[in-house]
Amino acid sequence: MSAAQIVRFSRRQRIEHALVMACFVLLCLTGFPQKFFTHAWAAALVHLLGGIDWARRIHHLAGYTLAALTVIHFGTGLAGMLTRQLPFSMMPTRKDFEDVFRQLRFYLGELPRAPLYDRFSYKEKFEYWGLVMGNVIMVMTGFLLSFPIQVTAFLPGVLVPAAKMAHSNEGLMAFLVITIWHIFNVHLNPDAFPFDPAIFTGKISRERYEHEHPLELARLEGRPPPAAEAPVAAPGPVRPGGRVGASPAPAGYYLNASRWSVHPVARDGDGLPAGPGLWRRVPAWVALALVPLLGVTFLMFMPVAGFAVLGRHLLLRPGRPPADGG
Amino acid sequence: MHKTLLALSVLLAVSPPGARAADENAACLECHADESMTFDLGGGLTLPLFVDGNAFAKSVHGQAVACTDCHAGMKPDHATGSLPAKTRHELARQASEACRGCHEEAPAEGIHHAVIARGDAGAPACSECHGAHDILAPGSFRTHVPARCGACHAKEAQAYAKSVHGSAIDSNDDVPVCTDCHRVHKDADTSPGALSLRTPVICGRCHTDPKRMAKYGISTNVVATYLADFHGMVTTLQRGTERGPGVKLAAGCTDCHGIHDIQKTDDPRSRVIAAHLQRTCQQCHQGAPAMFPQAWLSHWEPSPRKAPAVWVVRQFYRLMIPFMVGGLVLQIGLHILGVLRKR
Repeated sequence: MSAAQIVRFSRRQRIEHALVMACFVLLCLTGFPQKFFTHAWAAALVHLLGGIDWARRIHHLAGYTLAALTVIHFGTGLAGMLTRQLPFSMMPTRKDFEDVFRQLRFYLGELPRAPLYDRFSYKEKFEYWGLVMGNVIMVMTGFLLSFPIQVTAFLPGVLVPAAKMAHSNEGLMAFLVITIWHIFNVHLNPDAFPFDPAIFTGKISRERYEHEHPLELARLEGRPPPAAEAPVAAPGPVRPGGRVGASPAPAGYYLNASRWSVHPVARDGDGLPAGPGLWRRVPAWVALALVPLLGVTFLMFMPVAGFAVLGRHLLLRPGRPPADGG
Repeated sequence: MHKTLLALSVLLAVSPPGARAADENAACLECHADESMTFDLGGGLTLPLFVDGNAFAKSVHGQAVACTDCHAGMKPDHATGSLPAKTRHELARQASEACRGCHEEAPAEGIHHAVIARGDAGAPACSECHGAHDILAPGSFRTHVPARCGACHAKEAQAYAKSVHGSAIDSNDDVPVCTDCHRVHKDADTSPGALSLRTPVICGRCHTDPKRMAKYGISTNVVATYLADFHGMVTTLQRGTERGPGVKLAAGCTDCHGIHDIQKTDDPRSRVIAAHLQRTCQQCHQGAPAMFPQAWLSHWEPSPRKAPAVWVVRQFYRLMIPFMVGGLVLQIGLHILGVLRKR
């Protein structure tokens, strides 16, 4: 086993995660007793917190902190994208949509190999977009609930109960997704069980990196991607439809329509990512608009994919020998 | 008097335990049937000494309790005696001890007991609510209750008389009288706001009763819809909290609808009709703008007709949560299946 460690999360990302986690725990502890207030445990928990007024104060404080973290996250993200410094590595691409199918079909024994992942697997991208979009809803509705007098000065009052309905339900969904999806995929899955400290230490062993993010590791180490994921098309000149992969390009945002992928080129002459498909230069707003659009689409796609793969498996039983006697 | 004596003598024949009482009471009434008889308490106060023999005979005690059972130690020759009290109220409080002689199980708690315990001598004694010689069986004098309480609580009684409940009291057995909400021997918690926090329970006793509410076309959902909203959540979790400096209690039923002056929700005097609602909200929510009251769904369940925006959000999550969580659990299931298959 190699002792080499690779830094996966920067100090800033680790602090951000710790703060978000603390806020999330506090918000759940002070929020759910309000949602399930008729239960004895809710009354006991509120009593422990020093009464409903204190529970609400803590909830507001944690909420404002999370709102500030969300705004800072969006601000730095947007700044990074506008200066073309930030790779669009969290944006779901066509590979992610396909990876879901391939990974699930691998679990079912339909495919011999699982897909290889880049910096973030589809599971991580789903988690990220779920949290980000959930935060947007929670912060907006929470703000509305915190300032009903100011809000109803210029917006209809019915928004307040609508916001409460959304806040309460979105909070429950966030809690379920975090406790089920995040905790399983990060800590309880057999590869990491019982606990993965990577987000707190920031480091992962090279061996694990090779296993979990081989495409990123290859790029970091200047190697070509592993054979299975090698690009099909070779670099070449500019074609009428756009530029091919790995070719140098003028600064700007490039969309690869066949890969549903956006790539910023920071300086004139920097190379486009290797791989199939043509890269077409697009205006900044198109690139920026595609990011949340694909994020939300991917969120909705994820639960469907599981049912679709299982349904197909049960109906067609692909990869299995025909039953004896036909 | 002769008729009474005759009646009592008939009773005497069939009711030996009452015989002593009947004899004795008749003897007392020889003098106390005189309507003009009074006693000078001093300080300009007079105590009427008249006892209505008929009313007493009809009272719960009329057939079995002798005068001296309560007025202990009174001898036939007390006519020139003195009384150990300066006011009628003081006398009544002394008489309460006599009540307890038989009613030892009567709860020594309740709002007036608590007021007495706080050192306020003005709180009423037994006879000042229940009456002395004209005590009726509990439950048989509902319509008299507001007048009885009003003897001290005049302002509240006047407001009540004009309310939707009080104005119907003579013709309607369903409306609550004072003691239906203020259960004097049960609800002893006098801490500030305790009663307000309990209004969903108190009002709910009648307003969630389908039989009673059907007669008036009033929804029995009012408590459930209240609890489903912010105020209901907070009051539930505030149970046991005292109102005080810096401690506000969330609105209970009476904070919006009024207490003794409660009106039908379509009465122009009601605090909760649309025209008054903004002002009612402003009691707590200072500066609430005109659109603020719409934030309260007026006890309506969200539906496509009432508050469709809220209904749409609810339906969305009713589908989305099982869909999303189910989809993820399925994928985790497939993951575990894959791990097991490899083994």
